[in-house]
Amino acid sequence: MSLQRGMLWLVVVGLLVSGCQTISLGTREHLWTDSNNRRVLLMPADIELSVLNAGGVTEPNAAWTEKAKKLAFESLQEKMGETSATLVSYDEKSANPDPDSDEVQLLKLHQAVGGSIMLHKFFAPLALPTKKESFDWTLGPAVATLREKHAADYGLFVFIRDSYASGGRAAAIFIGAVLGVGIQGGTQVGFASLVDLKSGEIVWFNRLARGQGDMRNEKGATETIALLLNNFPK
Amino acid sequence: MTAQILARLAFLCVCFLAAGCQTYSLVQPARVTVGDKLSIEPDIAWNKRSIENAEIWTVDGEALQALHLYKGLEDGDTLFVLTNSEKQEKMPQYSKTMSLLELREFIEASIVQSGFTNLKSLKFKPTKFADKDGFRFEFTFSNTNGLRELGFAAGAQSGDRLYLVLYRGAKLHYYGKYLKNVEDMIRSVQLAWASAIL
Amino acid sequence: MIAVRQIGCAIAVLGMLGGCVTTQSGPTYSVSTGKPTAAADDKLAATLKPGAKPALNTDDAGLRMMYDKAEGKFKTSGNVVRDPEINRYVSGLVCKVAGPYCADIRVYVIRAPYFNATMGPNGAMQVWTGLLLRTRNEAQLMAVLGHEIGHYLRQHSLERMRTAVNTSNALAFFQLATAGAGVGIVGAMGSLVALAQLTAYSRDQEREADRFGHLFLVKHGYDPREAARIWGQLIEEQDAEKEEGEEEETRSVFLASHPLPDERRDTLWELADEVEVREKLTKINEEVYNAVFLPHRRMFLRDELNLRRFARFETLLEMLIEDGKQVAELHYFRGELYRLRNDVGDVERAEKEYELAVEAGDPPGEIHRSMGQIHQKLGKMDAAKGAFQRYLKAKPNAEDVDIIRHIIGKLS
Repeated sequence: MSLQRGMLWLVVVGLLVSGCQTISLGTREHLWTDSNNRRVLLMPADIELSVLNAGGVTEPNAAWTEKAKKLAFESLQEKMGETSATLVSYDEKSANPDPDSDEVQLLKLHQAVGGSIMLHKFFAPLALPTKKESFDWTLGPAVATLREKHAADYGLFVFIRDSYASGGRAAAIFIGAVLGVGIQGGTQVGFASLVDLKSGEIVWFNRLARGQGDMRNEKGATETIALLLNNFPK
Repeated sequence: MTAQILARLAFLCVCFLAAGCQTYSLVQPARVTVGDKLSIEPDIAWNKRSIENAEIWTVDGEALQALHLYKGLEDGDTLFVLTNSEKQEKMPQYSKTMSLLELREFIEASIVQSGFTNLKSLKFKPTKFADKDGFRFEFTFSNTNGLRELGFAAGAQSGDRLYLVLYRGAKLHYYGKYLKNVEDMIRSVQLAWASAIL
Repeated sequence: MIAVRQIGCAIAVLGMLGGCVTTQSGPTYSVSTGKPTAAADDKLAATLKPGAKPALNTDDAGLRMMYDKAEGKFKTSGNVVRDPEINRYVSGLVCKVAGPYCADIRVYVIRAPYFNATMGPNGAMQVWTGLLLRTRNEAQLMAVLGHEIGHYLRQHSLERMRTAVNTSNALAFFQLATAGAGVGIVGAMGSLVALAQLTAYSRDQEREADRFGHLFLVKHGYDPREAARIWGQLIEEQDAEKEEGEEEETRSVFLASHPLPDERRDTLWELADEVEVREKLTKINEEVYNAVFLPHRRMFLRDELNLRRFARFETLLEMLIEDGKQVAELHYFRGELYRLRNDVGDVERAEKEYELAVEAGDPPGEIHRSMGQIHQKLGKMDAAKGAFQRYLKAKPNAEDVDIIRHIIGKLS
């Protein structure tokens, strides 16, 4: 299991050096055909901002994280408005705390599914031959629990890790450049996925990986979310 | 630019040096041989990779469901090979003298030793496996993240070896998704060794 | 030569950066009242104020945020023991020790067979069942809880993180110096929290926490020698393991940390001996402790057996059998140990242990299945059949009755 997590990080690093900032996959162009107001449930957003210290260890920053979460929610709200949907947030306090409940298990299953998509769709050496042409991951029919409890049509999962080089790291990058050693600066990696709460199907998935971006201010957060929602179905 | 390419190459090297990181190949729905004795006929396409003593098949990714097809365990073999050598030493070893009850203990202990928790034994029955007197037992456990999984092991001992199929997957959706295909496939298992005697 | 110079240089850099790490010299608070107190007069002074919430822009807040996330994760891992009585009891002891900090600490009893307890800087405490199997009375458990609470009150994790940042920063420049002309990429070393978890508490932090554990025992009238006895017990297990050539246990952060167990045991003995009113400190509350945990011990023992650390387990069982509580299950598990270890003579040893378990009365129902297996191995087929039949009678709804009937059929 830990090997798999290690692999996942290798994939992320690989993506960073590979160049392109986002890649999205999807199964449908339109989320709905009628114009009724629809609800998109934002699952607990896993966002974390940190400082990248000179030594290359990331140190979490609570103030930035708190602010980025708020900015991300506002930005996502606006984006959903563009597709005539309302963004509703998932109240973690009202969730069933039983580890075996569908609610808890669905969150864990999504982590496993998201990890599998990252591993097998975005990393060529681990591509699955049967899924070469298809994109058909799902959370299964248990999503009905979420649909009924939150009266929502879709579930949106967001994961972002954003780090910024500290002054010391910047100095190390500079010295490294002089010595001809490449040192990685701050990075922004993440993924988002949209789940149809009727079927469980993952209808859209996007991953983000780049060496810039800044979620600490409104403009930067809006830009990041726009990139994260690249090719989001209308 | 050169640095980027180098970095990418370095990364790929690291990946391929790491155990368990081979590419997947396609298994067509037709009879295939696993190892030298066991053959099986899947009714859908799977993705497979090979490890030392087994093949691992999956449709949606090993984190979601995985089918381990053992080529025939011999004395001293372990069910899983862990990268952590200290933990690998504690891995139970197969012995051809194991009774049915000991086989279950061997398999369940291997699952616990590889870091899964909350293991609970479910139904354990005698059954035919490739025309041999075999066994089948089910179990449930959690992965390190707390995701509930279901699994079963089916197999038989033959000619000092243990032929074994292990299927596991997330309790939500993925275990059940191909359970019937796996059950049908297990009924198709043949051991070449057995037919040679006949 | 070059290498030597580089190492020297790195040490110099480390030393310079080390100077940035300041030991906390801020205000201190009384653990009894939560009010400000002078550190010099109060041996139990905390560096943390009760109910304190650090400002969001501090490293402390960042660290707590990560531990909050980790807490959310292990809370739903399925390994939290939910028995209300166990939780009430352990939380009660924590509150007794933590006093005004009680509301800041959440205790989780984790089903994991290692001698371990952890304390997050966010107040999330873990007590593992492998520890509860080994502490033998309330005083011993209190010593461990007091030790962990000591880490919390003195903010050792935060100190540790600051050291980790500074060390890795120094190392980065060292790596740069050594990378020199070669082309390489110095990537991210990983999450700081992960790193901090790997770095054990420092020698001084452990000593300080041990002192807290000791002082809490004295404060609440417990026999302080019990703290030293825990270490004595663990040393016995470790020695058995070493003799057996089994690998040193590294999983337990509690054990892997400096100073060595012998030193900790000796220091705790000395501290206990120095207490002036020690004759009055006799409370160990063994009965209360046993009433809470003995009903669950079978599960703890089963998990311990699954680890297959046979030498350790044998020593532990020996100590528990000496205690004489519910010995039937202890003999049963010793039998299981021998049956699974399967060394020369183990089949006979197992048979004897099972017999002792039956004699002691009320062993686990599974014993009959195990006896069946042992009889079978010894070629006593009739006895095996009888044992399996007794198993079916004792556990008519067991998940493996079909296979047992099949085995009986083969024996006939």
